[in-house]
Amino acid sequence: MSINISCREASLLVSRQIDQPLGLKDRLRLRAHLLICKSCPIMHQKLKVIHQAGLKYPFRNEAGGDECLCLSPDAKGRIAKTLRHAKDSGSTGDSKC
Amino acid sequence: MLDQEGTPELWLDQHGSALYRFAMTRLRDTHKAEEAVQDTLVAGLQSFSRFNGGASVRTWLIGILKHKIMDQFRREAREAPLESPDPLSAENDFFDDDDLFDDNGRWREKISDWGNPEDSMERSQLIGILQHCLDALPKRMGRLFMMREVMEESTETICQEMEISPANVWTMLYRARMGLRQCLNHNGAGRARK
Repeated sequence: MSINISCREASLLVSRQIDQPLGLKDRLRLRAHLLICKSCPIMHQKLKVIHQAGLKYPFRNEAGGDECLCLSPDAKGRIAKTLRHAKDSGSTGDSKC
Repeated sequence: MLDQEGTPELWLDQHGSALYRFAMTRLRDTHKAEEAVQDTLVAGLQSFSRFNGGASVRTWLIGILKHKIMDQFRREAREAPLESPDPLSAENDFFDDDDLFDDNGRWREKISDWGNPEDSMERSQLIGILQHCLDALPKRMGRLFMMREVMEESTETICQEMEISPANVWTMLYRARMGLRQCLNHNGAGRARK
């Protein structure tokens, strides 16, 4: 087997590694490439940053500030009405409208 | 019979806004987020007898909400127009490997370091740029990235949900990430804070 892979192949492996563990062969190839390449370790780092940012993404308040991202009273009213309706029609699992 | 903890009106009061925030930061649409919260509470009402009290009510409701959000992502990803039966080719216009690599598979551009963006910019700034860049991705690709990186679903689950092969999922995620990297570059990720 050839241990040499291109930067194109290496960046595919770096991305796939985020999603699932690589097989031994690919792991060795990637490690060898990252040792000899100047650019790909930086790319590796960047994809990790994007991965981390994705995990933190949900915690950003849409409004960007301290403003509360809350259900509006209108929305609450609408949902409460639907819930009453659902309750009245029995909570047996029937979701007929 | 629902006891005090199990009245949906109480859930709405106590957890409604938390559920809405959770949905809103992922769906980014007030109507869809409201709908997801409503569907969650109705589903909660219908399945409360199966709630074993092991987790808090909020955790249990968030669990239901996650499924509702995934349903929405799946619908959106499936409804996104495809110009070709090949699930990857529609995204080719957005991202082309050949722009990045030469015929020998080497980088055409010099890859510059971002440093640690958390050091050089506010976290909210980075997330803000990521949000902007995610919106710029082709819809299916963006939804796939959200499912994987934000909802933390496994690629196996995504394969089943989207009915595409693992190879296609990996390729689409790869393209999404490379596209996001380029977009983050253009929008100043890693640039020193003033």
